[in-house]
Amino acid sequence: MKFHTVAWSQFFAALPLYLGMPVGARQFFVYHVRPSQPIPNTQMGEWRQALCNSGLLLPGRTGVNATVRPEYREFWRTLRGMSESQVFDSPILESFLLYLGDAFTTEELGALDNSRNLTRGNYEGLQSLFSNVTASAWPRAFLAATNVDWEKKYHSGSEAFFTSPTPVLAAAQQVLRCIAKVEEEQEEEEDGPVHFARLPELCRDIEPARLAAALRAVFRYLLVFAGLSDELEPVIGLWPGLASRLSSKPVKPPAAVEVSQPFHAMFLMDDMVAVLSAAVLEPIRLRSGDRNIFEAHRQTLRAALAALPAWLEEAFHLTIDDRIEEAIDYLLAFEFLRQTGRPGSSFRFEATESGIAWLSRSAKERLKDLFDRLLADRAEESRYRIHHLQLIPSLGAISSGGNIDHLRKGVFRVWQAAPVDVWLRLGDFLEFHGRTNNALATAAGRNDRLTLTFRGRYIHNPNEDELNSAWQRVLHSFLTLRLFPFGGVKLGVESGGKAICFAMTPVGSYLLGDANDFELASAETRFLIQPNFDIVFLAPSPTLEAELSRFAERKGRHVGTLFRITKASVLAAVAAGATAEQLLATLRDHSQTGVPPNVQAEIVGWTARYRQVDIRPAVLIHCPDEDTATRVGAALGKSASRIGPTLLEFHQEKIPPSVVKKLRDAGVFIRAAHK
Amino acid sequence: MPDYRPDNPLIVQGDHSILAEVASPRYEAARDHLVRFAELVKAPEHVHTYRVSPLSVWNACAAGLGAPEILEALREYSKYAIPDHVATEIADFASRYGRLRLIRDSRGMILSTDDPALAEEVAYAKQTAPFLAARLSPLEFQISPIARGDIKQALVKLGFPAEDLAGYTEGEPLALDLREQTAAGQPFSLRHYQTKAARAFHAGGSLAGGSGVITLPCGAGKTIVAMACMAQLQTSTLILTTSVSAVRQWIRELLDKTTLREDQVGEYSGLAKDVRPVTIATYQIMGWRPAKGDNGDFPHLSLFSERNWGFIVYDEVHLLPAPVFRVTASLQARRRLGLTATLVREDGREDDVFALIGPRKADVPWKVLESQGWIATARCTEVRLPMPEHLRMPYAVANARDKFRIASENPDKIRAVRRILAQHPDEPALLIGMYLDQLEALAKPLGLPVITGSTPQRRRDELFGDFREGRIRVLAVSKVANFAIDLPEASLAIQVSGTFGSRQEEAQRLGRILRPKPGRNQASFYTIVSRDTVEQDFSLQRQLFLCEQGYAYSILDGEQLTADPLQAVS
Repeated sequence: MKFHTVAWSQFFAALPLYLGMPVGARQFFVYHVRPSQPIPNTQMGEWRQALCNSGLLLPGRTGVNATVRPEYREFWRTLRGMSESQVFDSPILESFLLYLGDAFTTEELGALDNSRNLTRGNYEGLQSLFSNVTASAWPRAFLAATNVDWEKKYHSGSEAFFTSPTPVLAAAQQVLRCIAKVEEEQEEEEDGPVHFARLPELCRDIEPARLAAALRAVFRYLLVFAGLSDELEPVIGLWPGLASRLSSKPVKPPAAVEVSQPFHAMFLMDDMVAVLSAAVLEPIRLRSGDRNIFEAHRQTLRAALAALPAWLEEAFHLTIDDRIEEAIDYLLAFEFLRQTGRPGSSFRFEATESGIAWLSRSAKERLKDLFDRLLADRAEESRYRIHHLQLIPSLGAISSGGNIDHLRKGVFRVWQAAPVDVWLRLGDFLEFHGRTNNALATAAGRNDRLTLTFRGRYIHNPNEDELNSAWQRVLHSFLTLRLFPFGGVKLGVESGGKAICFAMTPVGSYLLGDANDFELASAETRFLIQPNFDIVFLAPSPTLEAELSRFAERKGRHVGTLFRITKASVLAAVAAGATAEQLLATLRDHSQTGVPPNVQAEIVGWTARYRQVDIRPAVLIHCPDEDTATRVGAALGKSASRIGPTLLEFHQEKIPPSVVKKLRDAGVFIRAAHK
Repeated sequence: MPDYRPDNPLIVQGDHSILAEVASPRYEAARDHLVRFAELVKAPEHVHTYRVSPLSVWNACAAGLGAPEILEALREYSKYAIPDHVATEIADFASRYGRLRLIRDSRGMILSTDDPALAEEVAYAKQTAPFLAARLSPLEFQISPIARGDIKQALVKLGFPAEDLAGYTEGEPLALDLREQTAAGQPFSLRHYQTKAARAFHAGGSLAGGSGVITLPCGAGKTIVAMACMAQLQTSTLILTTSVSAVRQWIRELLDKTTLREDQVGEYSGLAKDVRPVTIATYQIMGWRPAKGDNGDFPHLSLFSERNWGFIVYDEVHLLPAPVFRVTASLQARRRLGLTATLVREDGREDDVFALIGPRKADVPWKVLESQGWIATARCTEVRLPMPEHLRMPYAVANARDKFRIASENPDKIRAVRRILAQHPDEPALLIGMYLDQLEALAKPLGLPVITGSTPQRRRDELFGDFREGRIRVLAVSKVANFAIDLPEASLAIQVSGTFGSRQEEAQRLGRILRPKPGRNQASFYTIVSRDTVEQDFSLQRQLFLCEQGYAYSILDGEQLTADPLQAVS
């Protein structure tokens, strides 16, 4: 839709008629009406009255249908164009390209990009245009313009100037400032763009004809975008997020806030423990076809993982199946789990010796071990390691060029600025440090030949906004991939609001090098152990659940009877390296009512019954009498042992031909045993 | 965390189970509400589990409770919000009760409803249609009086239990009273919970009462409650119980605590066929038939029609056999009382008990009675012994069934028995076993009399009598003593072998020693098992059951029984 050709005065005249209708009638008008065709009453149904009363539609002579009044056909087209815009819902490159649609000629687009050959197939050129017009430098330069010279740089040459005469430019700048100001104010309430209906009032000192010209100018140069709100009201706004970046106000450092629903768990490590414990008990079999886990195993693993709060799953897109995959990937990366066999033949994941040893350690030791491995990730090699082993996983993926060690230090510096146990809004924190402590910007300033790989595209010589966004993304990734899943931060929702907040923990300080050691927070929630071996949680505690899942069978989720201690579960834990003392210590430390004597006695008894045996294939040689057994033994030497008067064990899987010959020479002939 | 009230004791879960935290300051108040509309599933030490089911809600509705009161109680005592679907389903269950009513008027027995759609459903449902004699109006059906039980059963299965307001036959009058002093000269009066249960059953003689189930723990005096009900009804009574010994015990109790004379009380069993104003019969004789197979008749079921019984008592109603169920369906005009320690039936026919005997009228948690001293406090101990060296190889190569027997008959158990008896030198004790050879082998060196299935009834009565009167201190018994035998003096039970993992057997055996004891009111229950054998595994199942009933359980090594064996009886 060519918004820069719309007669906006007429649009504003028609707008009250449209807004006077209920949302259902608006929806019908936008999506079902075709201005060139009469609309039957039956199709309009319950909305007929509202549509005809609005004045936008004209009832037919026979009274069986209605048509859009000719004077409002352009209004309809403009609305329809707005309805196709997705920039406010999904501010990404694809939405931008969709928005461009057929609004611009190739020539106009090329002029916008200062290149005369920007075609629709030139993806890289369009990306470049996107970068330009969605950066704060774009409106800033426009606002600084004093005459038509700014426009001349982007003008196609075949059309009239949009910002001439100068009063139109001033009006366009005023419109842009008004919209940016309202958006910035609205951002506090997480509100979106500005309603069109407010524009005449916001820009009341601009006469209507000039306002219309100003709007055409700002649409022509992609300084603003149009769309429809959830209630199908026309809206206008800068590219999302740009208004605050345009603001001259200094960014405030994030302030401490109160939160509700706090959550703290090193859930990734807990997931790894649960998956590895299951693998110790029984190797995780893989399907030959797609190399996925068999569904029965997946069900077992799903049951073993602790539940996360629903708000957290939603905010960070955490599904239980993704968590299983992630835990397996980390276990493989750390070589706690290994893939054995081949498709169709013992194809599975098995726990390794080091995995079993890791499992047998205390929670703190396990976590420290993971951190030590991550901290051992050397800067110069980091780019070439899989991201599970990288200290700062997204850094290599986001930038090439730049001194990676400097960038890593930059990430640490930012997160070290977060005080322990103080809740801060995550968005504010990232915004503030994105602008004020941006190591990527510093690297770009040093001319480190920085290239960003950002949102699926390469950006050479990124602008300030791109550097800010990319840096925020790096910081956010460090939170979501390192601090949060390993218990380095607590997360919560701001009291009375929706903002996600975080607070640094001693674990996080340790990872960031601010502390030499850490203590795991003792869970506030405790459980009850019943004499019937049930473990009951009266309040949720993912951390404790993870500890218990090592040696108890899960029975439920969230609260209630979540676990039962069984012989099988205890033996599996012992097989994974646990001892009775460790299990009982875990139970004693967290049980509200101690460990019932019978439960204690059984755990000790079960663990005492654990034994490991070695198996190996061998050949049994049955001899008809003791004399023959002696002769066979003499012929075979050390490769066989006598295990009975007439029975020998040959220590290999098959008797090689040379041994067969040796026996024959001794007068002993082998006869295959009957099954 | 939203809506979290940690001081409250209940957690209502999506599967309709309700957890109750015993240590909560509001636990007792919450429990008093819960028992009215939920079934106690298990009661281990710290957190008890209840369950809300259609039957439990209908039982509550029959007692005058409605969904709003149930939900209010749950909301009042829950730590977290009640899951929406649970609240909806409770309201739905409750709305189904009483939408159909059975009444009697000049037209005969009528099934009526105010809901036309429900009337159509009843008319067309294959479970109910055969029992509808005629349709009197769009909302009313005539029912044959003989089909009263059948239609109630069918309606429960359809999910719409009928409220039975059709009244009862009065039966032959029979004057009887409870004594203030027993025939044996002891003072006697009802305990408060017994009075309350009997009143709840009788309901002032109204149509709302007269049929139902009373749930009391072993040793709480269910027999006494039944006698109180008999005294309120003043009518001829048929009592059905589990064994001849139990029959004799009923007779003894009736003669001891009521004004009934010997000539008014009869035994109907394999040994005697006396039909008197109060007759006590066994389930076995009622279910006996000369011709085997499904087509044989049950000749003794005619006992139900031999007199004009005004009242029928079903002792241990959770064991009610199928033929008695069938005949009970046709006895809906008689007042009926079921007695049990648990409404849970192994065959899952709780709904038939509800339909044919009636709704639950009283349920007193055993913990309450224990705290008030009405039943003894029990201490359960499992003693583990190693297998003797010479039996280890035979055990290792035996099949599963033989393994259990070899482990159960561990000859070293006799030493443990001696030591336990020596640790409890003055306590009347029962030595309980499943294998008769083992019982004999243990009893002989200890000089203990043995009661098994083959012991003649006269001899059993003598031995039980001697035990009650203290002439015998230790009695060896097989599984014949599992049910309904009242040996109030026994305070020590030593179990040397059991029926694999049977939980019910464990509960019944423990029940033998729960009668209140003078003095410290303490009972001890020992189970001796062979360590690291299948017997220990089965014992764990039994142990879990007792734990879930709230009994603390400890495990001892055989060597920890240090009392001097010479002190034991011999």
